[in-house]
Amino acid sequence: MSTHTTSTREDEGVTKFGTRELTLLALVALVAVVAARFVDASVPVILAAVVAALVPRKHGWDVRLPLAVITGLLVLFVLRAWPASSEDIDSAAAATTESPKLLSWLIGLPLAGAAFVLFLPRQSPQLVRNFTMLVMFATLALTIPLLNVTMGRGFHFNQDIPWLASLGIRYHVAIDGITLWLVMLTVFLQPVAAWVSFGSIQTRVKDWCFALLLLEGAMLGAFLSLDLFLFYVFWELMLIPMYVMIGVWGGANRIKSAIKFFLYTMFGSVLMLAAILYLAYTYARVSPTHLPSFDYFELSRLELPQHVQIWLFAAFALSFFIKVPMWPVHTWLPDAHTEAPTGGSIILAAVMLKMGTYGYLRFCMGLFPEAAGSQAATLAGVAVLGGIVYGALCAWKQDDVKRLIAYSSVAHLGYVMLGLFAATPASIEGAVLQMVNHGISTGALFLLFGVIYDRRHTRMADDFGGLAKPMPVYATLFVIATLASVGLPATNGFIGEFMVITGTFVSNHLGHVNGIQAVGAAIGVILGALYMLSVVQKMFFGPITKKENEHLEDINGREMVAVAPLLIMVFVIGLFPNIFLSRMKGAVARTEEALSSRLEVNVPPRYYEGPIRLLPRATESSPLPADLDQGASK
Amino acid sequence: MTSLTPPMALTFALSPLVFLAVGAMLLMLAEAFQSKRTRNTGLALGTTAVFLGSAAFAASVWMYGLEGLDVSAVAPWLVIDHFSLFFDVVLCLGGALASLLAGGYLPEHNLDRGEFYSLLLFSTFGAMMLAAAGDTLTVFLGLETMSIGAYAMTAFRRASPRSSEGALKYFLLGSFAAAILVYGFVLLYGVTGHTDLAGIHTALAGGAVKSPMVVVALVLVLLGLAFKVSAVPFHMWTPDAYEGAPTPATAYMAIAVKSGGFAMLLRVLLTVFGDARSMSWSSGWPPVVAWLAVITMTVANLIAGRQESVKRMLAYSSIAHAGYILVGVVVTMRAQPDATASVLFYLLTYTVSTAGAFGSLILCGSYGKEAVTYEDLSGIGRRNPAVALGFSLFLLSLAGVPPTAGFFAKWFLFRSAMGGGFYALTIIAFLNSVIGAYYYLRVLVAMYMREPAAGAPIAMPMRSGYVATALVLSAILVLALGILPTSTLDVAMKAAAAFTG
Amino acid sequence: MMDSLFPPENFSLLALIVAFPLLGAFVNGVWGQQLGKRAVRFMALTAVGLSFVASVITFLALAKLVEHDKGEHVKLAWTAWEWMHTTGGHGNTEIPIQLKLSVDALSGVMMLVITGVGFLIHLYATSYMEDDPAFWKFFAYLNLFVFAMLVLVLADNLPVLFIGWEGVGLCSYLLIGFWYQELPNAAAGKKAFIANRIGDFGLICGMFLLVHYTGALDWTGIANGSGSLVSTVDLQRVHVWPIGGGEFRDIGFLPLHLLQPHAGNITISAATAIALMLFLGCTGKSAQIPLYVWLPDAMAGPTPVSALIHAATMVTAGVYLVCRLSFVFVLSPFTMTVIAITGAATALLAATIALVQNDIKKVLAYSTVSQLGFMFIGVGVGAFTAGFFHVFTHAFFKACLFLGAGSVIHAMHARIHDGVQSQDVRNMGGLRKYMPLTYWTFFASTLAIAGCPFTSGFFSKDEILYRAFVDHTVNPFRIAAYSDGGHWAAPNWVAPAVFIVGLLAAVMTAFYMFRVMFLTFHGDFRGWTIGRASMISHSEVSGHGHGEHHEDLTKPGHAPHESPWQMTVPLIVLGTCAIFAGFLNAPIIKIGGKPWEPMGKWLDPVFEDAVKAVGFRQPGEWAASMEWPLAACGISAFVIGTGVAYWMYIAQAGRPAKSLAEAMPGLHKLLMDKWRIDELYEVTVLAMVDALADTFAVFDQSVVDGLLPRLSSLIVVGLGTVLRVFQNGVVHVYAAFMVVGLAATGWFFVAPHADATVTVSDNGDYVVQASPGMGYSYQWDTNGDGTPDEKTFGNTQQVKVHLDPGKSQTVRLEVQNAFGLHGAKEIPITRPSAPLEVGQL
Repeated sequence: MSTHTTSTREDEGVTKFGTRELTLLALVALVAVVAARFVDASVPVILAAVVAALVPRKHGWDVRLPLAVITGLLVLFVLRAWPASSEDIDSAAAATTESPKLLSWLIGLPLAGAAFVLFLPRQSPQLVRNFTMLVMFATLALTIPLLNVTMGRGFHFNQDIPWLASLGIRYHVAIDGITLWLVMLTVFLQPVAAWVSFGSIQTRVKDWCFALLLLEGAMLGAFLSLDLFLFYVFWELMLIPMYVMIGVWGGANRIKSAIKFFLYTMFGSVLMLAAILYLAYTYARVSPTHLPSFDYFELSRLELPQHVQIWLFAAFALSFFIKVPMWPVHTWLPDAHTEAPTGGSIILAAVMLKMGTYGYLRFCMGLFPEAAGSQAATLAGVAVLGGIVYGALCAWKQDDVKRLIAYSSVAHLGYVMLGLFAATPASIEGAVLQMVNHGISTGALFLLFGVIYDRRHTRMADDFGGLAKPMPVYATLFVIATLASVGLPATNGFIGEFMVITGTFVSNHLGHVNGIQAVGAAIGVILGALYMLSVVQKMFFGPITKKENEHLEDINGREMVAVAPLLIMVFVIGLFPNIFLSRMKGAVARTEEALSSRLEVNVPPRYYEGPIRLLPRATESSPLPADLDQGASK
Repeated sequence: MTSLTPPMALTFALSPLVFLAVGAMLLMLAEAFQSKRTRNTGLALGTTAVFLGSAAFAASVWMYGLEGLDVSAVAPWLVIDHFSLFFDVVLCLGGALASLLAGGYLPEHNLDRGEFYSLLLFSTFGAMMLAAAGDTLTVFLGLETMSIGAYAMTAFRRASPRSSEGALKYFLLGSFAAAILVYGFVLLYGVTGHTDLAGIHTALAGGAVKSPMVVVALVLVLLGLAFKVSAVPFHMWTPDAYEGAPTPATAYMAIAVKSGGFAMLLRVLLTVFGDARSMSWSSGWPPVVAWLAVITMTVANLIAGRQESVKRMLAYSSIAHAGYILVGVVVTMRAQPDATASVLFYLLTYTVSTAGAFGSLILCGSYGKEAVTYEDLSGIGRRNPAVALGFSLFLLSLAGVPPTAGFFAKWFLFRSAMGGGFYALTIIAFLNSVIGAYYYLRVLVAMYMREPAAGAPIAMPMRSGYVATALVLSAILVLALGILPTSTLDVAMKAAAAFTG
Repeated sequence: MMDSLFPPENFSLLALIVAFPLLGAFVNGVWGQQLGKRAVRFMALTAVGLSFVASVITFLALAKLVEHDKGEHVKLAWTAWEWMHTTGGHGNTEIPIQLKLSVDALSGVMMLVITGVGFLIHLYATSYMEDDPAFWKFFAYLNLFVFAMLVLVLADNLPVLFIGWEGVGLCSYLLIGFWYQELPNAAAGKKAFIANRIGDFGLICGMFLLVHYTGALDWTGIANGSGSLVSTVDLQRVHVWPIGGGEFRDIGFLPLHLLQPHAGNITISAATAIALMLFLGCTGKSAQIPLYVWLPDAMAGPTPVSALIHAATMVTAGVYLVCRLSFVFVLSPFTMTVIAITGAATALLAATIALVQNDIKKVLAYSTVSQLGFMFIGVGVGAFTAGFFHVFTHAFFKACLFLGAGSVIHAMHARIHDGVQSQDVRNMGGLRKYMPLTYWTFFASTLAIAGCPFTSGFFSKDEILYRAFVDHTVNPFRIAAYSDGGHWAAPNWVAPAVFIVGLLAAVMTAFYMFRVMFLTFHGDFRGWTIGRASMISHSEVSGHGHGEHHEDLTKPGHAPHESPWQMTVPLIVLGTCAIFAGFLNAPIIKIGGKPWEPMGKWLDPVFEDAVKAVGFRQPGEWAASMEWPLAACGISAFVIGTGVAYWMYIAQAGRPAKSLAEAMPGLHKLLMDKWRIDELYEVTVLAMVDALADTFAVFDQSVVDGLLPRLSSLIVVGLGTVLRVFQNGVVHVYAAFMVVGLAATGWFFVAPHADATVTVSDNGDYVVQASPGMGYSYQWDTNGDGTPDEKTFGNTQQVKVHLDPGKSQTVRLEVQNAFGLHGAKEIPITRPSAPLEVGQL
């Protein structure tokens, strides 16, 4: 862009708009109208067309088309998923019968793809790339039926078949309003991460694609499995690909970080495994069938006395807290993030960390309600001080931008955990939404930082400065992502934080400290602005200090296509959060009621005392398959 | 079906042993008359065939059903039960894999001498006999037959002083241990007047015997057994022997000899000292074995983390696994037959994983440039992706990461420990497996994430159909046992029932 | 026809009002660069213009409705969709939060001011920003700001208001940092944003308090729920100490009980907590003590920005919020007093600083802060109408002043190409004859702000001071809970003090405003040669494109010139309003004995709840009788201030000022440095946070990351190394270890282990079972009398003991192992009085 605009330029400017764009607009409008006749919803088509037409002229159709499609699809998503028109959804639900195999397809497709990649020729990376993208889009397409179902309180697409019958291990997958959005997040972000990584990763593409697909399958499996054994298998399966991603394609001292990441998580998960085993065999002891069971619903019927429950809770919680990560077991995260390649960082931050929060929500709160309830106040204190405040202040002091974003993750997930500990409907909904938000905005931040990293190969904020001049578009996008992460109203960040904070203040699980904890969480709002704006200023404003920054190429089409869906989602969630809330409401209510009912029963004292026993089956738990019922009746 | 005549029945019941012995003899003859060129191929194949054949016989006996076979003729010296049959299969599998590895390794490294295979065969024969031994005499016979073969194989690289040194240590300490074991047996005989295990058991279980000599005997026997499974502090020969021996021999010792050792350990402990008093948690052998297990796992894992030679690391890892298995042995006092079954299953998975690991290690090097240290492995992921992938698979199985056989093995083992209420023991084992993961990962790091230093001698991967076959075979087993372990576990349960039913 | 088109409940015109500027911002922001200047200008002006037209229509509709049902608090509302929901209130019910806009008397006026003044400023900017390369971006931001501001005032609930609240904060961040290539500007933007964020923190806290205590966030809901805010029930109050309630107990040796207040927990009413938190938000947005520091720095932005954001609209948001939630604020007399005092203090502080500043924009900035102080005095004493009316008038004269200053700077800048120099009044003077229009409008506004009788500023400010003196926020008598008299009431000295401080500030205002005007427009032009040298350096820096001016630097440049019509027209309009707008609310003028206050009447329905809580300090005619005396004070304040200024800068041509400054250099320096408040903050608050962050960062790297992973790995590695040493290849050592193992095992078996398990059956029979051992024989002492049951060791492995509830007994077991060694164990058994848990103990 020119530094001075003279009158002649100005005229050009006007005419510049006139000719081409107008014809283009007309043509596109025509296309739109025609298309609108076939697609029942004309709005998305037209909007997509407009976007396509008005993308700055320096980009060709290779950019216009994807952008248009992305916009169209997201608009379509908003229109279709709109809660107001719930009766439409009902009719749709009536139309779509819940195929029990769908979720298995969802998990299996990426895994099969990964296996298939092994047999593709290493010499033709482009083929491998395309295949990977294809598989990921197919997986994304598979999730459409999930949105057409009115979620309600229960579980859907339930598939429950014995796997290792003699051990009570079953293949049990199902989805509810909570996991729905985590699954959507996963399948939505995987293509983005893959797409952006294909730009920067040129070596051993085949291995990379293998890892990506394996990871996607494992993560989906972990979110969807309701059998603790199955869950554990997927949980461990996630480790290897991410470990390899960091270790092979990472930065300078990637190996140390990779091993740190692996051992931290492994340490947590073996304790969880021990706890799972104990649970299963305690169940066998007290159940009429005397068979062990790893089924979530069966195990959640166990009533455990304090001395047992507290230890099991600790084992589970520790492994989840490491994953979240919560203070003081968070230090693997900055290292992992700094060393991981952009694509890896995105997946790690956006999806993998959610394993911890999700795990706590589903398993710790579901299986050990009393323990979760009695520890909530303390843990919430840790989440506020160690997460929101401590994390933010640490982030402020980082010179390494990726480290900064990593610490900001610690802070953001502090909100999520606070919401879970507070355990009011609003706070849990806020927490779940915040999981998605963090995925979107932090993913976008990592992605955008990857753009500049590919150009300058440095992570130090001081090496930049004044970037807004050479890369205006990039600067704008980065600022938008920043504002989302700061939680400006009408972006996604605000909704989550607001619901968590208000939910926290009205919580009665946190004792009398809920007020101060809500205030502490609110302080996080200030600190967030502090560190994010500081780094933005360092990077983009002020005079250009370094020679090599003067002629940087602005964000290119490929990168723009990659970041577009994320930035659109920022506003979609910010303005239409009800699309998400309305679907998770029922499941959250179920979780919250299950928790409080158990807590109500046992006050005072908070804990159930006496021999371990089984509670009657909850009505809302997914219907038991025939074979298990016979087992029970036997 | 028509029942067999007694002699037929007996031969059929003993067919695994018989077939192996006869096969071994024939192969020796064949080798003697064979021309130099075609030898190795023929021998390796033949040995494998013999092993698989004998395994097949064992399987067929199992399927035919033992109740139809009267084996009283060899009782009490040999006990043909599901337990021994299971071990026959495991040992033959180990032997087959070892011979396949040898088929690739020996020619590559100019060690191509036929004795190796016969040693392999006879040693395995000893191991199978050990698994079936029902009398202290046969126990000793089997033990020595197995060991002597192992000694010789260790010393197989005549040129290399390390090899001979390892073998010598192994031999000295081994005979020391054997002597002690025999002395224990002698004492038992002296006290009870029986040499057959069942007889000793009945004599002891009656409670009539109060002589302290029984206790002394138990101590001595325990030591002898602990030595064979190389439990700390009776393990110190292991690293040297393993490192000195040619890799196939190492693999064989790590899998077959160890399995034989555990077969003997289970048989002796559970038959002779299976009564409530010797199994008492306050003053019997379980607490001792538990301590052995803890020390073994911990020490082995800690040292393994500090090794620079992958072969030595694998040696220590094998010790560590012995520690895990000992946990299962402890659990037998409370949770039968789960405990024994989990031990058997563990041995099976451990056999395939370890054989695979050593095989991959073989393929990573070539003549003169054998892959020994982590540095030697750097960049293998690029130079030989297939092998690297296999190696990773086996190591992950050893580390116990799902969905591999190793994961399920640990799962069953720790599960039965939990079921038996040995919480502390289980937690320690779990934490050890984390330490273990560290050094297995180091191999992955070397293979995938490091490139050989400039100018460093690069271990060129060798090519060998034999080893490849072995790897594919074990890889398939690792995955199969990892994803659908139940049927195998049921088999193990049936085998374990030998001590309860 | 209006009603049919736009029914009051679904008044979709509101959507258009906010939509136009947003559209403008979007188009200019995305395609502005291609569109070119004309299109951008057209887009921006149309957007705001249309929005203004729509506002006028809305206002008329509203007026019609007001006519229709008198005295009712009518509003027009439009709901977009349900935004989100939260839980709260009593019994944690779900609270839906709508994206809803509504306009009533109060927001109607604000809406007009924003769009009207906004339009003028846009028009002004089209010429002022002519040469800026980022012309399009500027107007995108400006439109976006208008959008956000409209959302702020039209919002029907707090979260939606918060969108606008933070939106304007964002826009000011962007606009202040508009010339981002000079770091100070970017820094100033950041400072503004973070200072505002501190305020927003207050607002968020206020919101969740409201959610909890009133169970609503929209205006009507809050009003309905506000009754419970002053409850004296302990649960309904906010526990300040110990925080959140509970009590301090000692933890170990920590004597925490000392922290426990003796006279029960310290609590405040929910109303006070909420009001204080909301007011914190207001101080941030409206630049009051303690958060005012960002505003003067914000002058780094282009002048129209200062005018629009920092004079006319944004900074008044705080006052607007207080007016909007007046019915909550009056519930807390304490907060009201705090507000009034804060306002007075701010007014005085800012005025003192403004006395000596030389940068024309800085003076105006501080005068803004000071005037905002006046507004808060107004709302603080419960004179909401007066306070809000000052917002209204201030919008005109302050905008006019800023734009006038801009016009001056524009002229100066053309001569002295230097940001700082061209804003320095010492370089100006005598501009009257070069730019008459600017002069006269500036003069008019100066009169207004100085409070010259019968200008707008006079009426609004005078009313505030008057009410400050006579008013008294009593406790809302409509709340029964307050009849117990256990409430807080403002002490009597407050009102006079506030009044006097306000008066002082008024005097200073008159003085510094006229000082600036005299220095700028009277006397001779002092800028002929100053700063010529700076041109050289400047033509490189040329951050915002003044590279075109190429002239000979040795000769004096051309004279300053009057600005083009786009800039003068707004000046004229605003100047006129500055003079006459006051007559919309001049209660001091009595027509037919009734005070003349159409604005007051118009706003009454909005404040009717609030004013119930406000009364006069002394009963009867006293208040009315005070009216003229106090007005006289106000007028004299104007006269004094102006007079001194005239004497000092016209009569004496500024000599007294110099001598005064020399007389007390310390004070002068202090004032020049703005009382060094910024520095104070830097060494206190900022330094503390900074230190804390440093500590945490170090702690994280060293301790947290050091202790867990590093230490544990160190231990593992260390042990490994140690153990490795024994593996030294010497076979004797190996054998030795085997022997050690053998010995250890042997020792274990030789040592006797007496051990037993106890099982209880429901009838109270305890069975003690000795654990077996090879060659073990046992001897029991069941009754624990010290003498064994049998003399010799036997094979009895178990004994049975019967115990009655509450009884206890010790069973002694002695064992002899195969080696004849003895070991013993005492097994104490106690039967609880509670029913037995059958099974193994």
